[in-house]
Amino acid sequence: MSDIAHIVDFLRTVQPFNSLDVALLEKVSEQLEVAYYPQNKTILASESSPGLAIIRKGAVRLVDEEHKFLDKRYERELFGHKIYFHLEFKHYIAEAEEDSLIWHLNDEDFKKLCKQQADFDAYFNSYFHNRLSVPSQAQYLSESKISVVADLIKRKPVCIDISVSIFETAKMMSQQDISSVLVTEKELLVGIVTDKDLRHRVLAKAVDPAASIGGVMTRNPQCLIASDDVNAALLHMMRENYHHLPVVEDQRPIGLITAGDILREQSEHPLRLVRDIHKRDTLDELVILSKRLPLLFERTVNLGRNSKQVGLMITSITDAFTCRLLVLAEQRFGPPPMKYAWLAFGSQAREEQTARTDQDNALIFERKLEGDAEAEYFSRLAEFVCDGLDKLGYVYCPGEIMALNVKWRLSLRQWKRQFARWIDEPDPMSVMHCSIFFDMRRIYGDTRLVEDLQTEVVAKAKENKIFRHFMATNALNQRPPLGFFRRFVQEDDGSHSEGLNLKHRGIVPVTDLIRIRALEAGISEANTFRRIELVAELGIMNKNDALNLRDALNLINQVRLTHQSRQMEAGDAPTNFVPIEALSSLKRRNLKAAFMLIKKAQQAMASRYQ
Amino acid sequence: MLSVYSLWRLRRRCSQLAGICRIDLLCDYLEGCEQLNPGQIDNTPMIAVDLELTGLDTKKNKIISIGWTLIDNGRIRLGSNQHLLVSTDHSVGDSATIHELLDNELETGISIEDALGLLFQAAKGRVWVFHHAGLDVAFLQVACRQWAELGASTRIPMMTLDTLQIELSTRQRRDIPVKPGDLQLGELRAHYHLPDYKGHNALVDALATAELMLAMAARLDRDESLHLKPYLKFI
Repeated sequence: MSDIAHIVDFLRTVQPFNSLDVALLEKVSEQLEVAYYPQNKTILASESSPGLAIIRKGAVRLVDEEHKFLDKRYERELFGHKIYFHLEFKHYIAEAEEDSLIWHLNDEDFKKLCKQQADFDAYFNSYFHNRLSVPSQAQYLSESKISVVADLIKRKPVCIDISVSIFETAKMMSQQDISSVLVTEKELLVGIVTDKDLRHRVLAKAVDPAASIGGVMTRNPQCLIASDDVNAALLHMMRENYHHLPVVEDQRPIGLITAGDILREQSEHPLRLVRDIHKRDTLDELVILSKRLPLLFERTVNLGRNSKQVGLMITSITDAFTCRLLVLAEQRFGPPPMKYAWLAFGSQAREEQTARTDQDNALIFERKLEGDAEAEYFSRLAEFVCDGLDKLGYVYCPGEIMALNVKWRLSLRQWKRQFARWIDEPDPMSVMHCSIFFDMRRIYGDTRLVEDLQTEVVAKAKENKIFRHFMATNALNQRPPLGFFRRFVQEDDGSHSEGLNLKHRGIVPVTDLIRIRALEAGISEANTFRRIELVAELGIMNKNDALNLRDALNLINQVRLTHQSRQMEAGDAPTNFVPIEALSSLKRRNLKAAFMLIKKAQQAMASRYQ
Repeated sequence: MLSVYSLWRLRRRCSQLAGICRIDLLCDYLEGCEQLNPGQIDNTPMIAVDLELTGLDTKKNKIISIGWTLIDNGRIRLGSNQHLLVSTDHSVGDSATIHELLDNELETGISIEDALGLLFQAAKGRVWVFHHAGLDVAFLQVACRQWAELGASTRIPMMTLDTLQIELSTRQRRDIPVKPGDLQLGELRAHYHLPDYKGHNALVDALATAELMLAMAARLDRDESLHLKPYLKFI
């Protein structure tokens, strides 16, 4: 018996080994050799194909042939493989900066592993990845915890056959003390019955208890798939306000999950707030809840979640506030006179909100408003929601892109005409509008209205290359701050640095760039990370370039989030402005690499739209 | 301290014992030991070993598990890691809480004879590395004598390095005071900036000892590969 658990455990915290399954990690761990290098001792030269080296403890300095400093690597980081230093491939010599314990994987085994595992291999072929590999312990922990829905299932669900009578079902539910039961037909899930159904559909309607349960159950209930991501499942349940959902595997029910199950598992989960929001009935109560947001933001960031997850969490809270306000508005002003939907634009639409955010929203109606009463209704509704959001900390949009503004309360046809004008007769102003309006998502109300609009708009933008050319020119206006950085990195004292606007110089350029790629592909998805995945899948963008850009965005976002979380901890208002002194030299180099990649992607875009 | 004479004596004992020993695996080991010519750490094959025991008395207590790992060319080969649980008629008793080995876990173990066979097979042609060699070596000697049915005065020849002894003599030479506990494996590892391993069993401790050996060797001689001879002990 060879006992290598703690070696595998450590490997699982090292990128990209964390992408390998445990059986393979065990095999890899048997191929490793451990060596100890006292300070300043030479460990290896990259030219001689030394295989891969993992820093188990200590720190390693990489220098070039003239002994000029190239990089420094720490515990859990790798060297020995091909490394691009500032996008340039160089041979290097590795020396122990401190006394170091190194795990070596010989070249043959390393190459074999790369050949077998495409993802593992991709990591080393992406020059960005092998530079930006600082996984945090926290991230590993949060990811290694419960990740798929199946992990949460504690026991088999109670099921009954569709032929059983209502009476038998109720008796069984009361005997087992459960509030819902799954209905199956030939072991496949066909429905669900809850206490509420028995009240509303049986007792209130005086249905004969001897009738079969099939007649009163909810047919084809919403369900989760065993392999669903827990966070996504929770988000889904919160959004649609489901209390419990069956979990199926190959259409067979394997469990029943309540939102509480997930929340208990992640007791400090930000989405607990979402649940609370749906239970509050006045704006004042919501304002009290909104005070919890800063703390939750910090906690989410400190959990080491990646920036995509943070964006989703924070936005889900904004969504919940918006929905709740709309429900309250409808309660106050009566039912709406027609189908409508509440739209979000910008970061809320992209689900990429952070601590500091303003509102961008609008209304879409199924038809033109007729008469003063209808106009009055939606004007008051918009006022109620926008004012409410402002009080909750989502300040008014400085550009007045809000439902509050009568200009952005339009019918479906009016919206279509508006977009058509922007796309067919592009000018700088309309292009600027488009960069906001093209990131669009329904928050509340009729889904079909929004889908209809999106489908048409995306198709139009895909056809019109001139329009996209305008968009591209606009996107290239924001350049990553490389000059600033170069000066900075060279001087490295930071005493007179002005700080760095990560949003305008880093995040906006990527978002703009990816939006255009998404339009080329005709994708209506708004989230930048998912857009990147989609354009890579569709071959609009080279897969490696796409992954690199994704990591660049993630890194810049991560730095911004950490910075904002620190500001809030210190009681300051969060900003997008990061003073360079606040960054470690490792972070600075990583940021610089990220900006370089953005520049490269912009150059590619420029030559494409010349 | 090693002299040509003591090396010659060890070799002679190896060949004499190999002549009378009836266990093939042990004879193989003895032949390997006879040919052993330890030089620098980079070219000396080593085996780092740790035992878990039911107590400290060689007459009453038993070996309950053996862990080892091999060092070649100055590198520990993690693929050579071995952890054997030894089945014993005696109950584990109180020491179970220390080693977190339970009786039923031990039942899945192998006999002491098989365990020793595997250990000495792995140790062939290698220098032994222990942390606090005295106790472990004494238990191995007793177990081997029973295994090979040798007389009470017979010693199985071993060339050993003891990380505890090396540190102690280094500190004494430099006049550094040694407080109780300073030379424990965990303490020494921290002193050499080695990672803290959670959970102890024979293998984890053998691996920990092997890493400590490499770290000490590197510190003892920063310019060239360390000559092992001054630190070797012959059993």
